Amino acid sequence: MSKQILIVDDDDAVREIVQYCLEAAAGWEVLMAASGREGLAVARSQQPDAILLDVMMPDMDGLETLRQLQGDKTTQDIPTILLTAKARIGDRQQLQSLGVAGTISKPFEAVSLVEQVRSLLHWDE
Amino acid sequence: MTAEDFPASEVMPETFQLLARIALRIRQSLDLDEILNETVAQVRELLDVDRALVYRFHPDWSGSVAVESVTETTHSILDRVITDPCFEKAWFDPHRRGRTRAIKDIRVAQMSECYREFLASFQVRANLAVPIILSLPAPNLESPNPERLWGLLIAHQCDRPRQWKSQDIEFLEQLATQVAIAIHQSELLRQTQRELEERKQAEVALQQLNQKLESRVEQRNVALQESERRFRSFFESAPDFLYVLDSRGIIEQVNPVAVEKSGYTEAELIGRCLGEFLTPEGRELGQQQFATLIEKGSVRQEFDFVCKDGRRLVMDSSSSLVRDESGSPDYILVVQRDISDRKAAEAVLHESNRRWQTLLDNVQLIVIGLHKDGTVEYVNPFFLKLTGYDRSDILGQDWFGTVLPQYQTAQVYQVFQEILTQNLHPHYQNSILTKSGEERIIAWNNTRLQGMGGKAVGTLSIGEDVTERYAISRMKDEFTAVVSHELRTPLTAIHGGLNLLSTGLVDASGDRGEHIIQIAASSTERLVRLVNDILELERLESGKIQLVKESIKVSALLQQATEQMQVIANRAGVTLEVFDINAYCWVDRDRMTQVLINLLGNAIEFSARGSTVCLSATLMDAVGTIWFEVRDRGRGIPADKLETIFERFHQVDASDSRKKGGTGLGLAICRSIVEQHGGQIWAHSTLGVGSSFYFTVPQGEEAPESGDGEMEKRVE
Repeated sequence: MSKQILIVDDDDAVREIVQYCLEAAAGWEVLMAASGREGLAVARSQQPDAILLDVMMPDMDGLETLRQLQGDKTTQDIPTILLTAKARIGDRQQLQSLGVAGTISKPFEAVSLVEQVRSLLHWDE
Repeated sequence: MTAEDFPASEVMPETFQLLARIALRIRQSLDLDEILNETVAQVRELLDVDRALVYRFHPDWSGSVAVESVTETTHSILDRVITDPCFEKAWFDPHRRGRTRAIKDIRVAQMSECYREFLASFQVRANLAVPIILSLPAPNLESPNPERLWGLLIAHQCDRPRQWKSQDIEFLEQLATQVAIAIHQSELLRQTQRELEERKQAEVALQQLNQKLESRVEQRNVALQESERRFRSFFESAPDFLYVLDSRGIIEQVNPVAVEKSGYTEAELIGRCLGEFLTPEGRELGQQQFATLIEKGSVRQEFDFVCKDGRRLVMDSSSSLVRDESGSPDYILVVQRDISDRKAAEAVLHESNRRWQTLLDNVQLIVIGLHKDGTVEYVNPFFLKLTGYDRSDILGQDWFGTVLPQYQTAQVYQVFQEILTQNLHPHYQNSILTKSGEERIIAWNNTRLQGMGGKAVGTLSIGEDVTERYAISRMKDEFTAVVSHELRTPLTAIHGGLNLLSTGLVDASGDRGEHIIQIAASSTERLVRLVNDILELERLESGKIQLVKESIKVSALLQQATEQMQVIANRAGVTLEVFDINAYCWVDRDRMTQVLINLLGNAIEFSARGSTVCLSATLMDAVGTIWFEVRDRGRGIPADKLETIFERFHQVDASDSRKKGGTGLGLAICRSIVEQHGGQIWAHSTLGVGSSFYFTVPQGEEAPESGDGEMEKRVE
């Protein structure tokens, strides 16, 4: 059965490229949100199998969105992967400790992105 | 005494002989007991009485029987002490005057019954009592000899009454006189013997005293010799300069150390005033001190002693005046200790302390000293300047309870304990509170202070206020993260998109493929703009771009900017209005055009189609500046963002900005350029109404064009 993934990113170009990657390389169904607030609403209503969440967004950033997702019973069990432009290993380790399934650094290749998502969410089998 | 001494007619021959014999015995013998015993024995025999006795009065007029002679049938009363109150005291005075009392028969005689019974108790029937009166030496030649009633010579008839004959009485009285002489002689002898004895005892005591004194003198001599020996030994071996001066200050004795160290011979020192060996200042001071010495008895003062080779020795000099028995000054003892080395060390220490103190007082670092109990023992002036505390606010106070923010107290106290006990944490960073409550971050360099025996007594910490550095570092981190994000975002779109196409996951010739190519192209343009802006800003802020300033007509500047933006305005359906002035400004033409284009670009981007953007300039003649304004009728800027929009990547809405092709650096570049012209830039805005951006630049002078058509330019 096809997986449904929600992409939350304020950058239109990134959002679209990620969508194409996931659809083309994995055949997953992609939901999209351009802000944290919109992402929360979509997550609650659509209950995706996983969320790819950008960290650096205006107004409500990725960390605040994550906190609200984890604080909501309807969304707290949805595995979340952070998309981050932070290059430093220390920063990524800090993000890893927030109770997320994992982090993926920008930029990425299409096939590599899908492989990383599968690996982090244990969707290999 | 011979028989001729007695009246022959009234004395019987036997009694006369007896008297003569007794008198002779008295003269020959000094043994009173023997005389008295013989007297009473002869009396009893001659008078044929039952008892003859000598009764002696005691000082309280009681008395005792001194000697007695009794018949075999009469009982003895020898040694009886008679205190009977019935003894008729009335007879004391008559006896004292020499009267004899003769009682024929006590049973019929007139007397008190008590006395009668008293005599009866001694079996007495007839009683004859003659006083024994001693004649004492007269106090002077004119005075009669005083007399003393010594006792009584008594004859008792016990078996019958007896009529005492006058011969009996006379005999007994004469005998009493002889007895009195014998007693007197005996007392004189005893007194003489006593005096002799006393004198002998006194002589012995005197002799003993002499011996003691001699012994003591001997001991004193030995002690004196020992004392002299010790003094000499001390005087000669003492490490200090020792002098004995006369009462005028002239050296009489000096010890070998003074001779050796001063370089003078003993002969050069003795006989000269000690003051001669001091510096002129010391000599003057010495004269004052000499007066004090005479007045108070001792003085102590530091002097510079000048040695024979000219060296100066700093002397700690103590002088004591010794007075003679009359209290006049006799001689002076002076001890001088060479403290030159100590003085030099003190001077070095003082200089060292002064340097340290100067360093601590002036160093632009915090220095604090804490006692091991955590109380503040030292803070340097920089700490007080930084925190606003007075010294009295902080010294003696608990460091942890006074200066640290509460949330750090326990942790920092633990660190303090570990410094004291384990010498850990040579470097540590924590916050302190200023007197006004502001928190400052201090990077400490800690040193454990150790006392005698290596025990920790406290800590000394040098601290640097890194609050600003810390803030800058945090801002730098944040900025790096933002730059990283801003660069990686378009890169993600480019890289991901091209990867989809190159791997064949998306067909490049299809609709999605074309869209991906467009995304990659626009992201590449954005990346180029971003990189250009970052480099531009870096060059501006690091001063790598030199401004070429010239006096330019404001109208020319406004025209140039509007011409360049007209196409974009037309495309956005926005009208540009320009309000010109006849004035010059002193600017770099290209950079100032860049500022105007940036501001106009922002205004056009955020203006609704059909609206107007106004560009105007005003001459502020009084302050010599030109005031530019770019006003739009856009959606406005929240008040809390009006300051931060001029900072890098602080767009009101980053994604919005990106959509409109902004890099987030345009206003930061504008501010940098304006500030490098000595001007200011700021914005006013009302949400929903529009925004106005203002900046000022220096006024320029109207300058005629030079021959080659170039205006005056200056590179700054």
